[in-house]
Amino acid sequence: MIEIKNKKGQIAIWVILALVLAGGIILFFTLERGPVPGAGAVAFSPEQYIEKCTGDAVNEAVDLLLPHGGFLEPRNFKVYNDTNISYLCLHSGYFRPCTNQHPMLVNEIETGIKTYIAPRIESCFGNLKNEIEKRDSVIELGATSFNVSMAPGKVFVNIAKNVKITEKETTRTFEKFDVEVANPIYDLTNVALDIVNSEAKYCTFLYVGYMLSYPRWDVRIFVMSDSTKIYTIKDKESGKKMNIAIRGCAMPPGMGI
Amino acid sequence: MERKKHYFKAIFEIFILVVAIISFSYLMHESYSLENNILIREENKINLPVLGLLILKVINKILWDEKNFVSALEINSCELSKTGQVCVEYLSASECLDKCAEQCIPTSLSGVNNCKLGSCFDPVEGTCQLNSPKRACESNGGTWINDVNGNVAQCKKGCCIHGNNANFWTEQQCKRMSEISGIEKDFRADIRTEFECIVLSGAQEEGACLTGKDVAGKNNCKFATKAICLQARGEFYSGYLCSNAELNTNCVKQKTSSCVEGKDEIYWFDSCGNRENIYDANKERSWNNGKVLGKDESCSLASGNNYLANQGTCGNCNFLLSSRCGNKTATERLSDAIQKDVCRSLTCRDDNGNTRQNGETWCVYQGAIGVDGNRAVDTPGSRHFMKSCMEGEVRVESCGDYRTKVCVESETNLEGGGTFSSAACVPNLGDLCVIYNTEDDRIKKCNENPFCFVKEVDIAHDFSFKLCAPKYPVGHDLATGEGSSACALASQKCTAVKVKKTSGWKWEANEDCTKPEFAQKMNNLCMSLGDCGAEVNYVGDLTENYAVRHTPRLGEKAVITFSQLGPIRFPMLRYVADPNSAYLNNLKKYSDVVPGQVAEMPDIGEFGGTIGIPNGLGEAEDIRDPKKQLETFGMITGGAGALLWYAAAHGISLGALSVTGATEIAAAQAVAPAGTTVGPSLSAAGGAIAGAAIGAGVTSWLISATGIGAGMSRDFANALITAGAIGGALLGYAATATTTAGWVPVVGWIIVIIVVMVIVILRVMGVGEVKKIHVNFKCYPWEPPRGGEKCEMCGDDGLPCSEYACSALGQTCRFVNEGTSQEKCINIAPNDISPPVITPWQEELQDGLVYQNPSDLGVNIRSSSGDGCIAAYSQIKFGLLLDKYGKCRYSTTPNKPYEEMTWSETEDGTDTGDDLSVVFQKNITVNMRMPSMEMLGLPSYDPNKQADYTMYVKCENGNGYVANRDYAINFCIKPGEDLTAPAIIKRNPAGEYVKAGASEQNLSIWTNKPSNCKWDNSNKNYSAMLNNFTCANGFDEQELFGWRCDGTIPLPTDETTINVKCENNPWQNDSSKRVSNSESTPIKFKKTTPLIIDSASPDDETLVFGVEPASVEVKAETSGGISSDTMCGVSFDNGRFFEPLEGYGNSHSKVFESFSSGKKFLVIKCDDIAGNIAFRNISFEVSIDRKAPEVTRIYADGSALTIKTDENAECSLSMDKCDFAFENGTLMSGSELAHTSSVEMNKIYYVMCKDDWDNSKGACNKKIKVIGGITQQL
Repeated sequence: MIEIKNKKGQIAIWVILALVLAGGIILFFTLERGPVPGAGAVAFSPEQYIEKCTGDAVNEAVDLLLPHGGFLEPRNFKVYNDTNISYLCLHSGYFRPCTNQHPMLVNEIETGIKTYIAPRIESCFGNLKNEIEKRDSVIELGATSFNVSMAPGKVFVNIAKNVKITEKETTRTFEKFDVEVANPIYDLTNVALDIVNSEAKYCTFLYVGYMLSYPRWDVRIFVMSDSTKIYTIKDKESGKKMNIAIRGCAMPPGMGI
Repeated sequence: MERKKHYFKAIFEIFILVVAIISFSYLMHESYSLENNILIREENKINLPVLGLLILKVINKILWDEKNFVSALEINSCELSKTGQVCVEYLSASECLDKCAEQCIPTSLSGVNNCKLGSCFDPVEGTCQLNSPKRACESNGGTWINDVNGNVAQCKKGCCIHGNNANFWTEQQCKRMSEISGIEKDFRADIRTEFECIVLSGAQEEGACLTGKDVAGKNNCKFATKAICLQARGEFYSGYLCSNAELNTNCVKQKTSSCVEGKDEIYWFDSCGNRENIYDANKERSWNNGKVLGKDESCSLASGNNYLANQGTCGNCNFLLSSRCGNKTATERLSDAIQKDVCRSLTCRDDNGNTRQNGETWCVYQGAIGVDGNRAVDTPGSRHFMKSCMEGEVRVESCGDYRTKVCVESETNLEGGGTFSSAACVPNLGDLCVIYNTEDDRIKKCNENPFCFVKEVDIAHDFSFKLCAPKYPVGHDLATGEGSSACALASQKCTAVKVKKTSGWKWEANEDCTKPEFAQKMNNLCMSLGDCGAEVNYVGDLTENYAVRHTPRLGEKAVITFSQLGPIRFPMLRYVADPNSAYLNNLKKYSDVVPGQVAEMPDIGEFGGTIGIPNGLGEAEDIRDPKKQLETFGMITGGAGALLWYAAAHGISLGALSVTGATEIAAAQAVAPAGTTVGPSLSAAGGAIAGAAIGAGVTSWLISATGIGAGMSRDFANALITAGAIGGALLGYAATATTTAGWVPVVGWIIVIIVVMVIVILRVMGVGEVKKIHVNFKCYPWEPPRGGEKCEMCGDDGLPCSEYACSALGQTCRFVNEGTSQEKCINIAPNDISPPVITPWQEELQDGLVYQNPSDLGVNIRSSSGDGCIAAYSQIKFGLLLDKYGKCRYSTTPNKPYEEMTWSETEDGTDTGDDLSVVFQKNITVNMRMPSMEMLGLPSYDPNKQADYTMYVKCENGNGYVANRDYAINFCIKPGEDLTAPAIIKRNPAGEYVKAGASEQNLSIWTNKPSNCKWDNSNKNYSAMLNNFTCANGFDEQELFGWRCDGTIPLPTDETTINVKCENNPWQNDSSKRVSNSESTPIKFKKTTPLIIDSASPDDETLVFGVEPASVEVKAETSGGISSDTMCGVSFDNGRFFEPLEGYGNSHSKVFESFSSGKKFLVIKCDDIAGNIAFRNISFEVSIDRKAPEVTRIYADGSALTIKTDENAECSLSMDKCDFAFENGTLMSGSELAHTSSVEMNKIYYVMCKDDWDNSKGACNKKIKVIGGITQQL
């Protein structure tokens, strides 16, 4: 039988094993929860966290807006493929060209996105607070105000909010979070506005010629029984699709009598 | 001897005179015959009221957009509806209150300031949205501009270059892009078309951009545009590839090849990942010594008309020529197996296996289209489609239900061989064709409009006319019948005339209307007007929905049958159904697509214009009624005879009669007693002449009075009249000559007696009796086949199904779940064998009537007052409800089979029957006029028979199942004769104003029952009135508004009032049984003053604009005419088509927004409802100012700088650079020719000016420096 003489060594081994075990357990639960975005153990970045969280909210909003013609809950719409599609241009009678219903569509979509992401941004900061506090840090959050704007290939969310994070003896403060989300909604909206302008002026949109001129876009049209035209605009680069409804220059059956 | 000489002389004179009288009378007759046959002509006139109503409705439709007549006073506007629609017009206040989220405004949208349409400019994004309501724009932060087409400076587009891209944008859009991307704004205002701009997107200056050195001392290189390179603060080498040895980079040429996002071609890439030139198997040629090689200079993919001839070696793909870079496939790849991409073909194959190029569009139809021979043949349920080839995929677009749009196609021959098709769905302007029929130059307009054709209906000599009809008839809602009224235009009547001759009954006019061709030719017209009559649907199922009377149906052939009467067998001509009818078989072929058939691309710009003024229609000619002719003949001859009798009695020569007036007659009388040898013989001759005239006149009158004239040939009638004249002449001679042979009066009497006997015998034989046969064709809306066996065939042809296409396949086919992923055409009643159940429809019952004893077997309809009986002739309305879609017919005979209930009126009118509903429907409204017993052929004195009138109704369901018992609708009609005088219920023209200077006015009145009407200038009894209207007063001549009478009223003064009275029962010979109005109806006519266009603008001036097209307001001020009802229009094509100006009254204007530059010649036409018309020509020049302002003078006064420009402008100063942004400079004061600003001495300033249209040079006008108060231009 081997006699173990160095008890201190044994204790050290056991301590090391315990530490390894404890570390393993912590690591297991950490991995089980999944990594917190931007919350890497090495350098947690509140900006990245908010950027990721806000970006997700924006993309979510856009995915809801695009099929409905740019609105979360269209009021004046046509049902096509089980989807309520907003009329962007409409004359409900006969013969006359359609009247532009949303000439400031970009502005309205920005408002729609803002409405949708407002509670989610608050939620993002709430989650950020929890995350920071888990790290034994103190976070102070000020009032939130933010603005949404769109540009080619992008959606900007400019958040103004005072955030003060005290981590041991270090204090970090933030006054604004500028989020840039890659999304083609602005470009899709501009194609929709081109279509509306053409329909309002000429009663038609030469989508085949448009696709030849601008191969990025795939435009499809479906004419319904009441002369409503459903346009589906697809961005071939991102695969995102936008639906819009237009009715104008409709002709009645027969002589309309 | 002398006497004998005189005798022969007298006989000769008699002969000459008799011949002269007859000749003269004949000539007179010919000149009057047209006028006298107006009555007959009316019988074959096209059904004008139906057309008039159609036209009014079309006008209404265009003016008000809606299907009902609406007074402008009822229109309400709403700025925001409950569903969120902006600026909506409602046709009634109640509808508006129900649907509007805000306050209703009792005016049309044009009167609501917030709903004015214009362009909406987004001051941030720079977009311009057309046709935008003011409210929708401003409420979201937009700037509203009063120009719907955006012909303003803010909306002017140019080419915005940013990086590799170029977009046709407004300057503000470009500025915004510059702000976002950080790339300096490059806006080319001089590029005015989108195409030019797109071309620029691929033509940016590119080259190598060196951005520092690596550790090895080699240059880092990126291939980029100059703008991007400068933004990255790189060193730009234009036209160089990064692999160019001169640049000392570590990039190795042509390492890989690949596609590039946003570009068509395959490109080489260097080892640094930089794009190089277009792939070419000949690498050296492609590398081009390290310099950029343009697309045009690169290898050619095409050879001849084979666009992929060099697919294996060349990467110069071209999206517009059906190729683009993509992954290689087994059949499409480069020869170099290492390369993974290739120029992929983007062509498609159409249904016929033909190759279609990328971007090619073509038309597809569901059967024959357009006009075949003399009929329009588009089938019910069929639509036009446009297919397109896009990136190898064939796509289909419906041109819409009901063929409201037509697919037109044209082909372009390609240089290398082959063709390229371009197609489009364009509005079907077939409605205009019908409107043309009201205009004088309808045939010309019809031929000019590519959507119309001249439909000739040539059935009989006296029943032929031309109509303008649509080439591609617009269909109607087959489920509800909405839009089917055009069919009624083909419901026409032909009056065929038979006359009994000495040889038996002979056809005198329109015999062909009684032959099978009548129904065929009328059905050709019927089907040309829409989905009407007998047609096949697009899957080839034939149904027939029309009715004929007194002529064979379609598909019937003549057979001889024998009828037994005692021992004698009589051959009889009958018509029986022919299963092999060529006519019907020809109709069936129209469901087959005709290879190669397309509708041609029209110039539809011409056809946006006018609506005609109804003034008559049809070219149906008179039918010739010999009886009428002979009446005329007799009248003329008789008149001449009376005159000659006077001459003979007074010894006046014929020459004096024929060429002189009363003075010369008196002179002749004075000369005669002077005595010459001619005197006695002339006296005897005068007696003979008078006798001849009287004999001829009396004979003519007898022929006319007995009515035998119609049955005689002209020669026979002339012979008889001549015989009468000779007999009369002999008797006249005998009576006036001093001496005469005894046989002369004897022979005279014998001749006269023979003539009279011949007339009597012919009358007894019935010669001259005229029988009019009213041959009718009723054109009903086409009906889908019974049942729904073929519902699921909708879409089987690969073309999408729709509501219209589905409903054409069967009565029980319904298109369900539209707008969902479960759209289907289904049979909603596959096993329904129960016919519709009828119940009375309370809501549709006219006030004053009640339903009594309703049961499954029927209902009584009674008046709610008195004994419950309804007055004969009164117009009533009631309704029937069916528990399912059905079609109903009625008969006045009970238990009649359903098939025999259609329009089964017999010759004596005792058995009437008709369709109650001509399409399948659930709610049937019946408008009918109560018959009188006389009209039904029953004696008016029997009160019991008069009291009862029953309609026996049967209905069938969509599967064709019919009730086996009648539903009886019983009426009690007021007994006794019609003792009520007629009422005038409508007149045309309705107003009192007539055209300035008019000498007469045509007037039509409609009465509520068959009547004769008269008019007079003073209020008299009916019988004393002097002027007759021409009235159509047959029972079956009822029109939409009743029975029509026409007259022409002379207008000797500026204001004329006539009194009109009518009398009922025109068929009653006994005048005591006719009742006339006791009170006359006064109708006043007032001549208007001439309509004058006092001023029109713009005229003789030059209008300057900054953008093209330009918006110009055309104005006209009028006076005279009927100011409240004057409308004006403007023509841009020398008076062919007029676009209406806005405004009734004296002021008319409209802004036209599509003027190009150049001299314009316009014609303004104004008219009013009285028929006054005025024209005025105007001309003006549209000039487009594209020139930037020039600086003409610069001077300084100390530090005050003054700049003068050659036109009104704004100027800006900058010390930065020449191409500074105008808005970033310091704006000088003054917006006209002089501009001032204070400047610093010895500093360099850049001056940039732009005019009112934002025209600028794009860079500075001048570079200056002020030194010691002196301006120096640098």
